[in-house]
Amino acid sequence: MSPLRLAWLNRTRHKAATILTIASLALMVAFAGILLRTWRVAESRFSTLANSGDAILGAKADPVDMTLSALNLEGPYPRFIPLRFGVLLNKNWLDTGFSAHVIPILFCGKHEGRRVIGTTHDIFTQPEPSPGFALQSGVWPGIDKGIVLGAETARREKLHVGDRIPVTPWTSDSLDVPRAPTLFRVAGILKPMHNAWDGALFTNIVQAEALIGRYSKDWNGDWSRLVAHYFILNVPAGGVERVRATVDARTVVQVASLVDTRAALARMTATGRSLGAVVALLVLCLTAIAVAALILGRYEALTRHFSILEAVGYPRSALLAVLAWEGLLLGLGAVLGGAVCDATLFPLARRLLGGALPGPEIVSSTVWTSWPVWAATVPAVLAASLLSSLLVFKGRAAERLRGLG
Amino acid sequence: MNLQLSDVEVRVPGRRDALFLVPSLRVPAGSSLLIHGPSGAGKTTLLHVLSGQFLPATGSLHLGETDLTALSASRRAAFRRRHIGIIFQRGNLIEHLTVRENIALGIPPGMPARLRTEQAIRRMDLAGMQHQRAGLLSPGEQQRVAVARIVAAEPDLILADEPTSSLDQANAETVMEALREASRGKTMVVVSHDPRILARFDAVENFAQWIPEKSVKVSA
Repeated sequence: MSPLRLAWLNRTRHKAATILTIASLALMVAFAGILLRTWRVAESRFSTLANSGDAILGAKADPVDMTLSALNLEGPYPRFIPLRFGVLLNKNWLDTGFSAHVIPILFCGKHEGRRVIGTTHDIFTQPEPSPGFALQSGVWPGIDKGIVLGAETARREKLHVGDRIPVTPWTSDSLDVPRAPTLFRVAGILKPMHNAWDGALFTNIVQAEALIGRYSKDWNGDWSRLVAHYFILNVPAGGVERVRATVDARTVVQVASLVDTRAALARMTATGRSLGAVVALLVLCLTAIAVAALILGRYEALTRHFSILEAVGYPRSALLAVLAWEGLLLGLGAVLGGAVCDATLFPLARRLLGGALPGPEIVSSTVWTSWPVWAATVPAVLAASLLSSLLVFKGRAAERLRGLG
Repeated sequence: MNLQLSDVEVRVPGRRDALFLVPSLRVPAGSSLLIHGPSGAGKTTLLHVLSGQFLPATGSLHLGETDLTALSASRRAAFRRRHIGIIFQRGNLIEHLTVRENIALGIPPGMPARLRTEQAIRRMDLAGMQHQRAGLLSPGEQQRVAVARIVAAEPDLILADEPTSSLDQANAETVMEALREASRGKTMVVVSHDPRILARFDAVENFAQWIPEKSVKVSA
């Protein structure tokens, strides 16, 4: 009888123990996989963050949240700031010889879960080093209910210029009012930018304000309908500090320097990566310990079985092979079960983490991302099986000598 | 296959004095030998020595032309699988395997396992229980299955350790009859202190003769 056959019989004839072990291992594998995927999704911000501007102006909030909201389309609905703020700011600077490029951002709706951004044609004329916002086909819309699609949105939904799509007004989530979708005509499709904005839709800010005007509870009468959520600023060297000095202390807005924010994000991600690696390592150790516990838990039976097999003539290598196959079977079962749990539980974990991670429409994550965990699980389980076998062999020798006077 | 021991001295790890000494012992091919003696004297260990699982401190052990003490552990295991069959007093079987699977365990690689298993099952009249798990069998049935494993393996040398001591008279008779059937034409060494089976062997040796005087402290 081959070692594989023996290992298979050993496992399948102890169904309850095998199922319990595989289930516990699978949960650990799933947990480690979910950690890995969470970290990967968090880290993906660096590749999905829209490469635009030197600073973000928005209602007072955490600078990282402001940046992720404006450039990675994450988080809850932001607070309004007056649109004329950007205009006035620009005017004042121009008076002092300081030139800035200001782009308003106003989230106004959603189409199939993707955000619709109201902005101005200025977004096409950003100075270096923030180019890339360009039309592949069509035109920038006026006030004729036209909309421009990010390249990914057009690709995923197979949309073309001239198609009509529904856009549901999106305002503060605290407003519990049914919102009827409005049909927009696809006026243009953007060239791919390889960032989160590829998955968004863009329209004229005038249309954006009209779309949400009826529904916005936070609408501030003093600002009329002229509001925005953010301004993306492109400024000359030293400009971010000048803007900060101008607005931070004296107005309702604040400035987030993109250089500083990216550095803060990098620190946070690195910390998360280290923590994730430690936890994943712990989980793998637990996996190995669980297997060792299973094998040593049937230590008495195993020593007797191995004594019988050795007496029959199975060499030590064959006995090791039996344990190795058992470990492999458990490891593969754990990986399979872990992958299923991972695929099932990760969306739930992502929902629970909410705004702490970019949404699935921005960064997708498949279960295959967890493959390093699977690749580490099998050797960990194998190693645990073989190390346990040392103890079993020791016990087997004692078993053999039993009966000595 | 002849069995020949010369000047075999067996020591227990961690003890300085010899457990037993066998100056000379020869079992001709096709004959049977019963070794009887007091419990706990080392008879089981002698069987482990004869099977090559436990090496003596000194001396030689020949099975046919092969000196087992000169072989590596893996070669001894391979030799054992092909030429030696062992039956213990109890615990011969792996409980979660079926009767059929336990019998197949002993068949050397490269042999027609299915055919030999079926032949052994028929010969030992185990057809009715071949798919039962070994752990569910009575001690007598378990010993019969152990004998069937020997039958399927067709070894040249059969070693048995107290094969009947835990059985009642009827079961002991059945097992000994099965062993006699299985060992036809083969060399067999049985260690036992069961007086019921003394008359069934070609030769009988008393294990006590091999115990050094200062070690004789066990009760008969």
